[in-house]
Amino acid sequence: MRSDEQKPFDIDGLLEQAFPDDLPAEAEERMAGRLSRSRQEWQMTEKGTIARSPSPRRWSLALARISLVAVSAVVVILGLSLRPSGPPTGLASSLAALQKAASVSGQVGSDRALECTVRLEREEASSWFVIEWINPEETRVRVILSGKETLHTIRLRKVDRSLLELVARIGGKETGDQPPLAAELLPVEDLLTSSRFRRLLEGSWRPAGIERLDGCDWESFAISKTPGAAPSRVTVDTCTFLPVRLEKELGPGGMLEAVFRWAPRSEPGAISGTIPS
Amino acid sequence: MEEIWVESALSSPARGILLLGMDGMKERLGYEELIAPVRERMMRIIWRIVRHPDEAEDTMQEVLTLVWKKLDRISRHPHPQALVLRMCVNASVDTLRKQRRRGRFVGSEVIGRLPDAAAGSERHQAETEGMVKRAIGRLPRKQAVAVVMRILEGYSYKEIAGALGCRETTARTHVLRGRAKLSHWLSHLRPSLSKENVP
Repeated sequence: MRSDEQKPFDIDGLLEQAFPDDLPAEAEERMAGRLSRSRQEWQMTEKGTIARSPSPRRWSLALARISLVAVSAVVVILGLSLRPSGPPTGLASSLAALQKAASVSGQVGSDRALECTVRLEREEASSWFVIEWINPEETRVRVILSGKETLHTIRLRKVDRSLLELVARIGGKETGDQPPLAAELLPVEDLLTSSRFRRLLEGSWRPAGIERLDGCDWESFAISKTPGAAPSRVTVDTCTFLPVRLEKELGPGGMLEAVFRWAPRSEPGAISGTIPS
Repeated sequence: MEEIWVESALSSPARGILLLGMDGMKERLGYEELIAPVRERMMRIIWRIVRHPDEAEDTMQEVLTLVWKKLDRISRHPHPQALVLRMCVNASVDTLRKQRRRGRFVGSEVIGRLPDAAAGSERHQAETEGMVKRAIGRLPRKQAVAVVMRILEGYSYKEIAGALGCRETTARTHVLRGRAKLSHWLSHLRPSLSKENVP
């Protein structure tokens, strides 16, 4: 084996000739400047901030760990959200509380009101229902069918008149002693009281999309009561945890759409409801 | 357990700071301990390869940034200063490669500045420099580092092996192969090397 000292020709001399050791003062000064600045920064960092700023390698490790944890959390949340689940227990309750609060506030002259406008699509004709919670004892429903408007007043018996109890006792049996409903109100029967509404929301919930993104998202869910049956779809305001809209298929060609609205009483149509043409 | 950085109460600034963590106690080298002893050599080695004031300054900055980024690893290295010098050679060879890609060598610049009539030793020297730099830039990184450290800086094979993180015999092989390639690529310069032919 040839030793590295046995060279075909004087390559070392050639290298030394090409790379002479002749550092000029200007280059030395400039590099020394860099070294000096680096030394100052290095010492300042060691003295001042090193305790709370680990080396870039450790930062990158920490970031990698945080990213992994975040990704895991997202996966877990996604998995949970995709899993069929029951209705949020607070949803029907909060609507019930709101209904009662609305009715009570109507009684005491508050400037806020809750209304529910229902559109019922049938093959033969469409009809509209505007549900108003007038006071704890009274719910009023206006039915508009083929241009004709009829007014129904539903009176609840044995209603607890305490405002606090009304709001606190959620989903009670308000309709327990109610007289039979008029036939034309039967399609919206489930929307008249919180206990019936609670039943409407029972089933398996699956996220179905987000409709609005402005801080208070409107999130939609498909509710399946039995496998194979057409699901209802409810849209919930994630800030107030109240339903915004409910859509439900009613057999072939039929559909019910209920839009909930918590609006200032002074606003035109807040209580009376605006019926789209 | 979270890692906690503390200043070493037992030592001078040169002893650096201590890292307490899961890996146990590790010493993080300070500037005075790591850079100050090889400061002059760093400047010399960068200049020898780069040979341009602006680019030498930039290369030094690159090395210092890299050293700071990899300080933990360097501090744990058995030959930290040799590693820093290797980083200088690496960065300088990278600069050479960039110069080669841009078609800009100090040698060629010198040639450009020379009048046509100056066909003497100065022009010849500049051309030779350019060719040798191009050849060094073509070498694989480890061979380039080994050749520069051995031939230009006179490091022992043990030190080169320490800097490259390989065995001594491997370091020797890197030098041998690098040298052989340079000899092959620069063989056309052979006549100019005989002292009688040098103008």
